[in-house]
Amino acid sequence: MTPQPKHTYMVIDVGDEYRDMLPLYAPDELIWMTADDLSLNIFAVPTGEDGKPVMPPGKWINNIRELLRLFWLNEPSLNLVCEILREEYERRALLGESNE
Amino acid sequence: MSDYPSLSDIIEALKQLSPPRGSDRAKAKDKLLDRLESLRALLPGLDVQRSRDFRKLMDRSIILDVSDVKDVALPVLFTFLVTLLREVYRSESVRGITRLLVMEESHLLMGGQTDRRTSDLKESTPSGVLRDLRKSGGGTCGVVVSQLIQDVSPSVRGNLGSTFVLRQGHRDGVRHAAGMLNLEAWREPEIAKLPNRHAIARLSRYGDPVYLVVKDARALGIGVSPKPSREEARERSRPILEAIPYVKGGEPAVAVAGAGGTGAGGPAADGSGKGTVGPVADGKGSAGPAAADDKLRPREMRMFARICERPWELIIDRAEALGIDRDSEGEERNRLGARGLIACAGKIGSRSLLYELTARGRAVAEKLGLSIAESGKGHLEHQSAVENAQLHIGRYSSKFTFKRVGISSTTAGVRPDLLVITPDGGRVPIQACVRNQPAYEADALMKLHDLALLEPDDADKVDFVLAIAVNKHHKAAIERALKDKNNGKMPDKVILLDFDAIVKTGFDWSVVFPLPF
Repeated sequence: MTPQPKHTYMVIDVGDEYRDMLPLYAPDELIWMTADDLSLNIFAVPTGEDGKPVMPPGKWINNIRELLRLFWLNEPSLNLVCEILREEYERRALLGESNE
Repeated sequence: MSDYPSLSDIIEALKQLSPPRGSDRAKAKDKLLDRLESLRALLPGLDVQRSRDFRKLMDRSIILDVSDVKDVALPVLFTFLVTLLREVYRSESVRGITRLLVMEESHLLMGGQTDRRTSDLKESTPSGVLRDLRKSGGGTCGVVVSQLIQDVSPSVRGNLGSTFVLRQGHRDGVRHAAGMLNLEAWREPEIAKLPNRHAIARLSRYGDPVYLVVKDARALGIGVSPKPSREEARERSRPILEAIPYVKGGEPAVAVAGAGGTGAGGPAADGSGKGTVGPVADGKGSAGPAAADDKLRPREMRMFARICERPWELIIDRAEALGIDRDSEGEERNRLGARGLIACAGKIGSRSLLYELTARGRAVAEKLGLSIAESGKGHLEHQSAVENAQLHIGRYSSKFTFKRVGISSTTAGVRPDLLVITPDGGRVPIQACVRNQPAYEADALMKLHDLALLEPDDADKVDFVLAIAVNKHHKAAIERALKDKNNGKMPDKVILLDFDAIVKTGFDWSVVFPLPF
């Protein structure tokens, strides 16, 4: 049997005029966050269920490279940021902590 | 385990690089610094040393309100979240759907072709992430919702699982929707004529299109709470976010969001929707004043204190004083506005908006013990003209002294807004002309002008009169009124400037106060 979703919500745009009414229909456990509240480090390798990094830092750097490409950065700048990131990882002895 | 470098750490490391001047590396460094600093300003939530546990975050039901995020930063935020999701849950072996991610206004993030805000994006990248997420297995169902089908990239449109199309007005939208639904050409007009709450859907990728009628949520057996009483509504509209302890920069604060423009509840349909396998939850709307809380984050607090103290200050000067860029200043100011603490009180110059405390803001400021500026003559525009004149003349030379009470010794009964005393003892009254009554302003200026024509030994004598009009149109009107009162020519001893001129960087004040004094 297919497990059912724990929470299923569809977000709809109800327009500004209904803004104040929204909490009335939102379940209590629903968390409302802004991007400022995320507290996620863009340069930290994400961890899995066991608390270990899910990939080697070198691979995560490639992900960051693609993220920054979206922010209108071109190759020379992207190479530079990768270089600095690697140096920072090395300096902090983070390269050996992956599941490589 | 060591801490990963934060965005600020990387910026600092980058600043310490010293490539040869003019080299490619130097150019790349400048560009990178510029971009990373703007990323830090646009998305401060991504600049932390220790990352929150993403799994725990995703284990809850979240609406991520990105309405305050600038469009240019949205693709980065979106792709970052989806990449995290993909990597963290890659090995998950659960079958079926365990998470539902809804992304609204998705054309902004889906590699739009015609939207100017996203036209610079590489089309394949967000879509590629979306495809990857799908490949990484079950567990997540994504819904992308947009009113602009034509602005969602073809690769996303081609990867949809189920598609729901409501009425489309745009010709391109109709054409693309027909393609997605696999409708015959002769049936295309049906899409443009769909009644409210009706949709044409294709429930699987190779299925036939079917009509759907969206019924009332109650008829579908979906629990919608009955409308509560006013008291219950007030009670329930307290910030939901208080559940999340939030610590930033060592100072504890509670992030507050009131009710937002995007709703949540049981399944419902609205706008034109397209279902697909893909990512991300997103909400829209800003904090509602009714639910605003008085606990301000440190950055908001600084901005609020500054506006309390100097409501007449121009945006550019405020941003500089707080050490932030103008975009960040705008974001923080909008937050305060959304909380109902400040409101726009007028405009001075061609485009400088002024903000002052609302009654609620004043109560909060008093409660917090902040110093609140006196409102002067009552008009914030007037106060801004006077304060900015003093500020910019003071920047021109520190040898000037300023007197605020007017020329108390004058027998003419004229009290200008500001009196500048030059190092050689000269006196220059400054009059801010903000009333939209050129004849009235001209009268006051002529009275001051008469003082400039007195004999040299007269104690009331002034060197000349400096008048500041709120904008160039007002300046022209006052100029005409002055000419009317002075036999068709401008009075010799009146210098009339518009506000934009005096606050402009590089304005040559030696034209008004010739050197040397």
